Amino acid sequence: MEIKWLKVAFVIFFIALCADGAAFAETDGSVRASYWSASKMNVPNSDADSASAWLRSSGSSGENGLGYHAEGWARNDDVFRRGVGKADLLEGYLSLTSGDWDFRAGRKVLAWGKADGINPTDNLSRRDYTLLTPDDADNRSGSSALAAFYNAEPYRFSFIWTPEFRQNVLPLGVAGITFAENMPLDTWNQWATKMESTGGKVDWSLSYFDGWDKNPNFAFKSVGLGGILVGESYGRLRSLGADAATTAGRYGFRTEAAYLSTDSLDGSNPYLKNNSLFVVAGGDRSFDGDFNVNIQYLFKEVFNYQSYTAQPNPYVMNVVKIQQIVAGQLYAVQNGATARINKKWRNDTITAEVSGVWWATQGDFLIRPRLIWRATESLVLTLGADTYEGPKDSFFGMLKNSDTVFGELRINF
Amino acid sequence: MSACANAVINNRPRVFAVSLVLLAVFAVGGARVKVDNATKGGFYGNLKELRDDDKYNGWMAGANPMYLLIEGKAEDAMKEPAVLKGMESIQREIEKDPMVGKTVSLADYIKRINMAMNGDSKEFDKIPDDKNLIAQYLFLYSTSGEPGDFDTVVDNGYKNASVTIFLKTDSSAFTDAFVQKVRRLGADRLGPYATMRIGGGASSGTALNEVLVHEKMLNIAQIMAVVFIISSLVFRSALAGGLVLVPLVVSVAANFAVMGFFGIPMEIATSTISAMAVGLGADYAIYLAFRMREELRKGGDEKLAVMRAFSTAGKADLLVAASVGAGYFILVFSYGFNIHFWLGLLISIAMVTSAFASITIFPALILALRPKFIFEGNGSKEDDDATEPSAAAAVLAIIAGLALTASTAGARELSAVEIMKANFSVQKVADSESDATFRLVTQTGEERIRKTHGVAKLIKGTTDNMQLVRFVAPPDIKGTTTLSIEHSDKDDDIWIYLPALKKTRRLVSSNKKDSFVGTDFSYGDVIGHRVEDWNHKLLRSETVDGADCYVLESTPARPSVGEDSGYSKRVGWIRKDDFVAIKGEMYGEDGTLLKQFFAGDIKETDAANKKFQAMRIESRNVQTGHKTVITFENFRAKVGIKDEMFTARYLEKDF
Repeated sequence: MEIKWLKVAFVIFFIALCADGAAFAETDGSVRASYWSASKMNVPNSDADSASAWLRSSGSSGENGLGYHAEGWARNDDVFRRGVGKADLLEGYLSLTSGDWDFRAGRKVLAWGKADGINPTDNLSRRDYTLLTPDDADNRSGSSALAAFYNAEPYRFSFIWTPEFRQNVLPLGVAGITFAENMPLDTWNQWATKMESTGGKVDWSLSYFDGWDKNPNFAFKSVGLGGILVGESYGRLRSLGADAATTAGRYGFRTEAAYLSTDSLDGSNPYLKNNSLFVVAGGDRSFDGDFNVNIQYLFKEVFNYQSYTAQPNPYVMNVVKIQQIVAGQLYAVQNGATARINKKWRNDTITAEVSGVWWATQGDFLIRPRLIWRATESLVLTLGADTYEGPKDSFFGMLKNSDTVFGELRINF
Repeated sequence: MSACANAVINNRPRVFAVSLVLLAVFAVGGARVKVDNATKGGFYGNLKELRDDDKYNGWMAGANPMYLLIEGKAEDAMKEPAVLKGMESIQREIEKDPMVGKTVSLADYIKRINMAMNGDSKEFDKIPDDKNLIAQYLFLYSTSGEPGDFDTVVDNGYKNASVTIFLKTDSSAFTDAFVQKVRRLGADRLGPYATMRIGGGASSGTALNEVLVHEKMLNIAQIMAVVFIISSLVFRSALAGGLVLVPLVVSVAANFAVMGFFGIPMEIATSTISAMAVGLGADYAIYLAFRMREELRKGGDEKLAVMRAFSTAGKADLLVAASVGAGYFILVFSYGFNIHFWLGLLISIAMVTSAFASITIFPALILALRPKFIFEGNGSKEDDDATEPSAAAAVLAIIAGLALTASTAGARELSAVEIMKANFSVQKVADSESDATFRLVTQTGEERIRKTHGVAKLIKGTTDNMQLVRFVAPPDIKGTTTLSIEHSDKDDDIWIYLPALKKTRRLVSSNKKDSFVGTDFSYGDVIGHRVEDWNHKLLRSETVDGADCYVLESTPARPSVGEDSGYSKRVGWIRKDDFVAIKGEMYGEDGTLLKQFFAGDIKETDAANKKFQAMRIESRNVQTGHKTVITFENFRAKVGIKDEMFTARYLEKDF
């Protein structure tokens, strides 16, 4: 589904402004410049200098009327070597409120899940894991959708139909392997629904998604002088999820779980991800002086698991191994943990944060320190690093080439 | 019916015990259910056509072909001895199965040619080890045979070959396991030269079985989810949704038990029947729940109300279930066609069990759990009688530590607590809306501006406040919105919507000492410090800016209050004429002075109820020299703010 999204954004913007003389319309954004000792493509010796402009605009005609929201960026991630610029419309939608109903039409980020950072139920929005940005929230973008929300406090029901498929962008820098991507054709057949309750002692939701998996399946195609050719295709994914959050004194508790069902009925096809259960459970505690510690336990079970070593063909075995590593299905049962420590000083002008993810089965982990200094009202400096460690055939070990230190200067306007 | 009602009212433990025993029996039966799709399974076994088919399968190789497609990597791959030996090895292995009548492949032809070329010696009844020799055999054959002789076993380029398997059954229970076995053999025996796919009618049946049965089971879950959602919505309670599902679960379990005990297979038809049964049986519990609620809300004796619900809705449930079940039961007389028999039997059972569960375990659970959706409002009118707030109403309680009341109590000497209570309510209007500008100023004079739009409203019948504050500037925090709901008797609820994450997060309410989005006000200052959480002492009178003021000292009533607020002591200067606090001092947990508050530009916001609001409030951190000045603009009280403004919907409103 090839759509000129920038044109669409312009049209939405124009219509919204002209349609009813929006009661208010606001535009803001930022320009950013950064240097990274390694790009996020997982390729050796790939330092990058990035410049980008981010723009956001929204407006509405009033309490119960038409509104719009548009958000996007334009960037060049190799400024000094004349890299190619690119742009993306992260969100661009019209909205309408009518009684208990809210409607959204267009590209919208729908971020599901109450867990911190890792959300098994979050399957609607696209992620670009190669985007050069210090903040994970910035690598998310929406998919075109028609969405209806019915509000019956404390409940809210979401009904979403999304005819657009935008795959996640993964750092697949694997030496000697060329990937050939096949996109799904019938992308119109994707929908999701959610029932959530906010406002009682416990906030909770139940959700269901039936659509295309945004992460690829890999299949061995051929081998030649150029290395191994691997097919990259996308399978159906059905996700039945639930989450909950509550607080008790100084503690906050969150849990989220999803049963993820794929096209693999019995696990016999090594080129398909298997059905799995993914659970995240944990909480945070606030200490004096704007100091917060957040810890979560991760559990993943892969059903009908078969090791890649069962493949007799060495090429197939290698591809299946990569598939299982990328999908996090290298073992039948995996346990892990996440942690995030955050401290703020001087009226939130200085923030230090260290976050990490650790998988116990292979001992691989990721650590991300960040130091953010809001020097003035509009000027923000961020220094940080990403460190990946683990065996080469582990998820984080495979990303070793993405180890980086970086600095970003941001001017908000 | 009265026996059921009596059991539910007076003997609930027995109802639960019997239900559990039945569910255990159902579970045993359900565990015996076999998934099996076989065309013949849909008919009685003694039909002539089935007997003929059995004879054919007994005498001949089998009437159900399955094909293995052996895919080579390149042209002439099927001439590789390793591939041919692999094919033969697979054939011999699967021919051991009694349900396999025969297999045919190119390997059979090659073996036969090899034997013929060597004087029919048994020693040569095998695949030659030499690829060239195999190619020569095939060439020799082509010079004498017909061009299409090998069309059914190999393609023209000898890249792909076929192995035909004749099966004596189309039972998917057999073919499921058989296909798995063949797949394992294919992966094990063909080596790196070839891979295998499986086709043909028998394997299609397996795929159909896997997909359709799986989908139908998913349908059952989907129907239950829809019933859950609708019931939750209708009763405004997730517990209601869960309880309404109970009879449906019982009826599905009963169906599976009957299938397990009587050997009815789980296949396309029966899985569809189970899905239908769930949908058909969904309404009995809803009827009864509505009726029970109506009867209970009339007031009076609870047992009589339940009896009345049973004698009306309960009886109707049974009659409807009986008539629907009987209608379907006629189908059990469809002699010769099992699917109709199963349809009649299983739906009848589902109707009866669903209805019985609706008048036994379902009301028993309701009476045991006493959910709000049934019992709330019992014997009284609904919320109409709730008392209005006594003219007091919440506001942006930013000044909570300082804020104070105006009342008419000046005629006599007031106690410290009375002064603080007056102060606490002086700003509490029924509802209000305002814009605010936060100026954050460092010790060196650098300034940052934050702007908000906020609404506040008192919770009906209380002095607890609801408050929604949305940041409109600067750009990096624009759209960040906080929602706080005060509770006098428990921890407050606080949520924050972060537009960068597109998510709402619930915050720990005890973080009251944390800075409110980087200002010199803490969350506790914003939400307000409850009068009853502190011990108050009137120190003296003092004149500030020409106003006669009470000077009061407040210390934590409990250690936890001090820990949560971050203050060991608060001192407030409260004007005697209107009880507005115009100055305050906050002492840290170590006892040293931490912050100073100043309030000015005090305006009357509700003349009828003597409510006032300081339009300029300053908090100065004396330890860092940093200060925050808040100025309110467009402050309007009693403007009719709706309750729905204080919900997740408005918290996440994106513009």
